[in-house]
Amino acid sequence: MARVKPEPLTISISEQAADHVRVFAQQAGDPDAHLRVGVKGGGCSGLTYVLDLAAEPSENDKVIEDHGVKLFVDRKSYVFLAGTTLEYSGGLNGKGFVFNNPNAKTTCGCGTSFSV
Amino acid sequence: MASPKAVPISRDVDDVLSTQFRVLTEQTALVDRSAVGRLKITGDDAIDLLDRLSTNDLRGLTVGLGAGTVLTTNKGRVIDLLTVLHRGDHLLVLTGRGNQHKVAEWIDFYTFTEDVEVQDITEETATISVVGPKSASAVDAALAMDCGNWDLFNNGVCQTLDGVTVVRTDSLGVSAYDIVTGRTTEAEVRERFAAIGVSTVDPAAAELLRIENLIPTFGAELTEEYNPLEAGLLEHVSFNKGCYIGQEVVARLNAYDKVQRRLVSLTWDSDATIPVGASLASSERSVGVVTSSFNEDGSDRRIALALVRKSHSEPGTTLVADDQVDVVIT
Repeated sequence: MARVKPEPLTISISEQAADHVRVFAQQAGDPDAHLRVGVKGGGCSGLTYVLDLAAEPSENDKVIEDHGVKLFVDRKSYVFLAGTTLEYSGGLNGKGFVFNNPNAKTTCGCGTSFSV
Repeated sequence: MASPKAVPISRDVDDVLSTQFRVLTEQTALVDRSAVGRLKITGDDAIDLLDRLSTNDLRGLTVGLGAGTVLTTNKGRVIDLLTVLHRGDHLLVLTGRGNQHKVAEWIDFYTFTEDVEVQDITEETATISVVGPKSASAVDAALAMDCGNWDLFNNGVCQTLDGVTVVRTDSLGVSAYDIVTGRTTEAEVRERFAAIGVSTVDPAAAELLRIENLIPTFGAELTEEYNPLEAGLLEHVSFNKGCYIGQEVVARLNAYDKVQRRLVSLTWDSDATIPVGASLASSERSVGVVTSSFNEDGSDRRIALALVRKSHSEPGTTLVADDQVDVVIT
């Protein structure tokens, strides 16, 4: 039986989340902006997700394009985010952008902090 | 079993320890604290990062101010108690004894895109504590630094000796100033204090003072076995600063009064030695463990620190150490 080469782990963004990135970029007055995705130390569980609009990647960023949005991810954050899908939970009770991160062993109550 | 009876520490025995202890509590003396780790942290994001990683609110620190703050795991357990000093272009951070590598690695692990650089300066520097009720006047006389009105963790640099930083730490539970100095100026610092009659005491005298004043220390009470509230570090925890690693657990322990253990001091009236690690029981049920014990050869001091269940932590409570010796919580 032929071996199936596994897909490399990447970071993806759902179509709905990508649409909301475009809306937020428009509202920020920079419709061509893309999304910086990352991690920083802190939060109850140790690591906290970071989202920000960005025009250009920083040096050494990984750049991933999905559903028309470029995601800029610094190398160290990528280690903790590989395999993550960024989704959007809308509506009155929605949480906004949600990270479905397979590396997260625990997530704190507010959902923005995780441990690996 | 011997009937329990609290025995106060004898201070009138004419031996070296008693003399040195008296100097620490009535005059002032130097204590070598060079085993404490020292880190120099630079970068625009240094305060913000340390604030996100530890229990105290560091965001208001400005030059000359400092704070004690606790690095905790995401389960709210103690990694170390840090003394963070704002020195203008950098932070000077004092760690537990020999724990500078772990603290530096911890900070590095949580540094992503922040402008933060950690430099271990432990080997090239020394820490000398000036301890005792007359420590402020001694620092003033030796280093020409008027620090008598300083609050805890206020710090400054000596104008008459390059590379010398002084911070008020009260590290042994009495008035105390830590002097962080380069190795090349360490001898000059010691000579200046010797010239005004301030000598260096043995580590044993300092350890006795620490234990008597219920001061937790790294590796004994400050370990990943305990959380900051159990270990007596409440004063270094902010409950309104927002998130930090372990905050959810620490906040819950405090809000719902779920702290299980307390740091207490013990004494006993037999000649038995109570070692660190001795189990403490009540009605044959384990309720705690000895974390520090003063067992100097030839000393008649019998005093120890322990973490015991809150339900058995009231002063006067009698417990049994290692199934053999009655001890009393003081």
